[in-house]
Amino acid sequence: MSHIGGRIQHAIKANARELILLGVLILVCVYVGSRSPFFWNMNNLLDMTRHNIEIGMVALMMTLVITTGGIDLSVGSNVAMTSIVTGFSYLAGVPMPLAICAGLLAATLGGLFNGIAIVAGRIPPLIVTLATLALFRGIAMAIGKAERVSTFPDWFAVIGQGYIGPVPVQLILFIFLAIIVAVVARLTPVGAFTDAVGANPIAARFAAVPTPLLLVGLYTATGLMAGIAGVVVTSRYATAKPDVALGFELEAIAAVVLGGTRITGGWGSLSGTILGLLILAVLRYGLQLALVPTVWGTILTGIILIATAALNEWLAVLHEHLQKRSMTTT
Amino acid sequence: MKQPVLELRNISKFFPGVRALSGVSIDIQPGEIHALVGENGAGKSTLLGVASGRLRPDQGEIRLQGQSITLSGPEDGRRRGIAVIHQEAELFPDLSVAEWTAHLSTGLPMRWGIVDWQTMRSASSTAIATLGEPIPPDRLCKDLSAAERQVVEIAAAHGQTLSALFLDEPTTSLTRKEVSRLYELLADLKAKGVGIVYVSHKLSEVFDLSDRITVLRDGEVASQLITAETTEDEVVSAMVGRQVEHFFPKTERPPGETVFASQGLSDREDGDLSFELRAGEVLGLYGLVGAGRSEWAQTAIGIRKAAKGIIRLSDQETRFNTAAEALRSGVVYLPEDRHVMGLFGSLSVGCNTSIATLRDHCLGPFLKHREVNDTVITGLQKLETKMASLDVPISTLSGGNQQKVILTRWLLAEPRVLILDEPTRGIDVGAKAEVHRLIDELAGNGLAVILISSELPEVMGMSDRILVIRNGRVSKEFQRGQWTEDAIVSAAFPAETNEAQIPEKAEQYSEERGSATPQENRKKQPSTVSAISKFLLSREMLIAGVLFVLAAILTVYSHGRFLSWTNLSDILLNVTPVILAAVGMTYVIVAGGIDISAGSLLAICACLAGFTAKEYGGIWLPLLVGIGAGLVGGAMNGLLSIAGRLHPILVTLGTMSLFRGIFLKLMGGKWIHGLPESFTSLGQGGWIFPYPVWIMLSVTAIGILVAGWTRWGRILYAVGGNPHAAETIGLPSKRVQFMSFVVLGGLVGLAAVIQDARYGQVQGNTGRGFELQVIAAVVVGGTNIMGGSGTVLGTALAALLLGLTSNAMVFMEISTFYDKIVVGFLILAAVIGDGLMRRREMVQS
Repeated sequence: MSHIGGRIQHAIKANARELILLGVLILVCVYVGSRSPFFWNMNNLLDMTRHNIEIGMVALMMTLVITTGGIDLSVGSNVAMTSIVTGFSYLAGVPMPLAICAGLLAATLGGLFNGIAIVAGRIPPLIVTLATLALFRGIAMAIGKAERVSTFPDWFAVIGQGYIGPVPVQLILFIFLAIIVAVVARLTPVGAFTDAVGANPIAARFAAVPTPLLLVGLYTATGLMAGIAGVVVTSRYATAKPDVALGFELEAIAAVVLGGTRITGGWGSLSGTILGLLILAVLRYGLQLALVPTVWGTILTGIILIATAALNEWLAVLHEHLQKRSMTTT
Repeated sequence: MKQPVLELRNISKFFPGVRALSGVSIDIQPGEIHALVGENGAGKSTLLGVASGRLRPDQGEIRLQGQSITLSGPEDGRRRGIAVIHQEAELFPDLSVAEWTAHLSTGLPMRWGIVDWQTMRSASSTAIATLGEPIPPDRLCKDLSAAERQVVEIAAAHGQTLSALFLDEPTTSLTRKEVSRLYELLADLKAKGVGIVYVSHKLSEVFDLSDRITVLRDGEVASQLITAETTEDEVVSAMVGRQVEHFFPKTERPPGETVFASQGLSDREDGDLSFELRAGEVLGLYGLVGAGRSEWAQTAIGIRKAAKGIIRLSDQETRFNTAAEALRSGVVYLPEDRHVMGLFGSLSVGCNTSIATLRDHCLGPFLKHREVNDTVITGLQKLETKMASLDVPISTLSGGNQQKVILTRWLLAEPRVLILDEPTRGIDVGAKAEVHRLIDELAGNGLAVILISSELPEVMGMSDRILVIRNGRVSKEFQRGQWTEDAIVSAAFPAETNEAQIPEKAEQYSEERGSATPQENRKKQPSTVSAISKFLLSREMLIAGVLFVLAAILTVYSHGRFLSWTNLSDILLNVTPVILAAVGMTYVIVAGGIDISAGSLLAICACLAGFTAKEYGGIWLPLLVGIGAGLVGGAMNGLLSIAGRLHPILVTLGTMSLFRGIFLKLMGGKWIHGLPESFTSLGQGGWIFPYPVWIMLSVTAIGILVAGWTRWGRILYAVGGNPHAAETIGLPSKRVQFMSFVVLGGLVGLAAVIQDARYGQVQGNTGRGFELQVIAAVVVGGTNIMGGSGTVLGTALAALLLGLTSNAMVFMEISTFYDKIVVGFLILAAVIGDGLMRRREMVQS
């Protein structure tokens, strides 16, 4: 009995952050549910995730990038670049499947560029991706000018607007991608390497961790992920336009940080990120449903972000404190 | 006995769960050198902290010249004549020697409210000249050698009425010549009646220098001895609390065949290290710090770039490019600095142990978790590592157990050659003996071991053969049984300074000291020519040059239209809000922060000022409201990141969303139109230039002045350059960082009001992307995003450059859609240029 109790206690301790987030999520759901009778409707619940799924895809990779002590501000611009490259390739007569590939390729190359500039140029990721934030958006605008592409083949709409049963197609795509990222992070050495580089980059070099390869790989994969999100966005709006996904990077980072990943690197949680995404999604759409003006969602996002971060920090300090005490008493 | 200069009575200090000091009493007599010794964790650094004023004792009192005092901080201590010279000189890389001296002594000299650089420089060179070490006051701290840093620190302490001087391991990174100069200095201070506390691990130094010895153990005074009446053995047994046997578990065996050879391998052109290594052999590498032992080892495993030479293994000749390549060939390295190069402090013991060998336990790309766990547990148990479980962070382990974890990390790789760099540094006596036993056992199993150590007894006790390294070359080779301590040491020191022996007592040296005159001092300063060329190559001049060329091209291209008054003032008007905010952002980033909420804050300020203007008209009230809102927002960012100890990116990401939401709420989906003329005259009127341009120019000018000539500005640079050091010497870092956010907020508010007044309306998307323009200007202007360096002038010029580029595109009829591409390229060009410059500087030095 006490053995089981001990294991439960251990599990609670190990997942304290996730449990807090789960608590917050439930509170938010209960509140929103009490304000609107429509909230607990399954179709609404599934639909509300649509907007956040695109952010979520990027946030998955962003979790790993931030865990290495890096950041990628260029993802929103990369989404726009993908959208525009896809749309305008199609407009130029490229068959749609190839046009999508072209968009994904552009996004992947964008990510590769970030990775190489960070590793080979030894420039802080914040600066590199700040520059490419402007650069990729600029490329999208230069190709798109003030125009947009809104005529796509019918089947293309399925990606962003279709259902399989009651489930939106992009939700299934997201789950698939989340599983892939989680498998790579948990079942291969990549996860340990990511933690190590974030915890102490110098020690990582001495410990034979392939840091350059890891970083280039992660930023490239983040680019590809932004590309996939870009294709989904384009399909959802049935429009390719250069001003899509503005501020996207910040929403993705917010979800990651809300999930408890340390912004300075060394510790990250994919499940935390997904919970963070859910909280943000419920807030945004739940409040809308409860006829609370959207701006309250924006305000609350800010407050929740800071409050959770403060709570995380406070927990970490407390934890350290307790560990020190137990160390000296034994 | 005379009246002690400083007396610490019955001092106790507790940290959460730890009793660092308990009832420690120590008195320091004038003109005495009092040695303080003890093992790691005995409480020496805590005692230094209490004496310097950095830590407040929980019990006990400090008496200075017989008076009981309470120190409010290190600055207070220094003012009263108590100085502490830390082991690693607390360095601010981008500050000048003069400024550093000032921070370390009485603070920056002020005159009429601004920093008096002239006085500061002369005070610094005078103080340093009295020690006979000419160091130009304008040199940057990062260009100083370890010895020079120490001289500056002592000079700074000396500049005041110094009564007690604490030195923490002062000789760690000094050459023998520099050590003897330090001894002279101490003798000199001693003669002047200064009480000196000398903390050292090196007992030979302690016996050379000191008059009395205090031994600390487990936070208590274990023993207080008169140096002349005691022996090294007595001190050592007081330190460890029992009799220590000088016994090394060394088994002598016939060595096996050669498995490894270094053929002239070195990371420097003048280095040349050649030797062979046999299986089952322990090869000791001895030498001074900087002789090139660790450097060689790091070159051997591919962490450093080899300048010459190769490595020969039994089956191949090669050079490794990464530690992973070396690992694959069975060559592994236990680094010297455990905390920096070895540990992943926040990660678990399991992860720390397995990290290097994960790829050996994969099935395809997938890890075999159970197998990894089993090998880790077996490996750790073999070394009798003590820990609660594999999941606890390694930072909670003792030094000895941490070292065992890292040793296990490398032993799991089943290496052929094991390079150990200071394997027993900073671990307790018991763990030391275990590591020694392990080294012998590993050699017995046929492993080839290279043992790098600065502890002569260890090298002599454990090695089969010793190579003495000097200047990156093998100076002498000894076989076991053929060496003596003296022979090894003299082979380690450079020939030309060999005669400069360390004296028995420091007094003997004080007479020969020569002092440098100020003339000599001046000679060493960089010539005017190189100063000018440095200025011409500075970021500001570079940007100004680009601006000029761009302007010239545009003038020709536009047939002079570019130079028209309207166009020029239009450009300036356009960049005004960005420059205003960028001045504040420069402060924030120099101090080590960042603020990405500036755009949203601009929106709120613009909205509130807009409402006020619409309601009441006039200039002053809206200005007050706009700036006030900015100050409040900035204070909020500052409070959360500094007092709340949250990362500024995180905080301002949150407030960015929060401020934007409040703005949207306030606007209620509408725009504010038709602001009264009494208000818009601020943005649209002018005298020669429009008013906003005048405001922008004065803010920039004041901004430059504040950064270079106020106490606040200078402390910003110190804090950003080395926050830890700033804390240690007692600079008000928190307050200064907080204020940088507030100042930025105020300037953003001002920018918002000016923008309102210029356009006569507030739009629904005000300030979107504004923060990126501002940060881009700061970065292109040459400010280091990690803090510590950057100039307001550079920022302003860069903002102008970004504005001019947009203007250029209008003239060249390039679609504004290309605008962002140009901004992106400018940022990349700036940082890549920076990187190249830095690399060239490194090559030159």
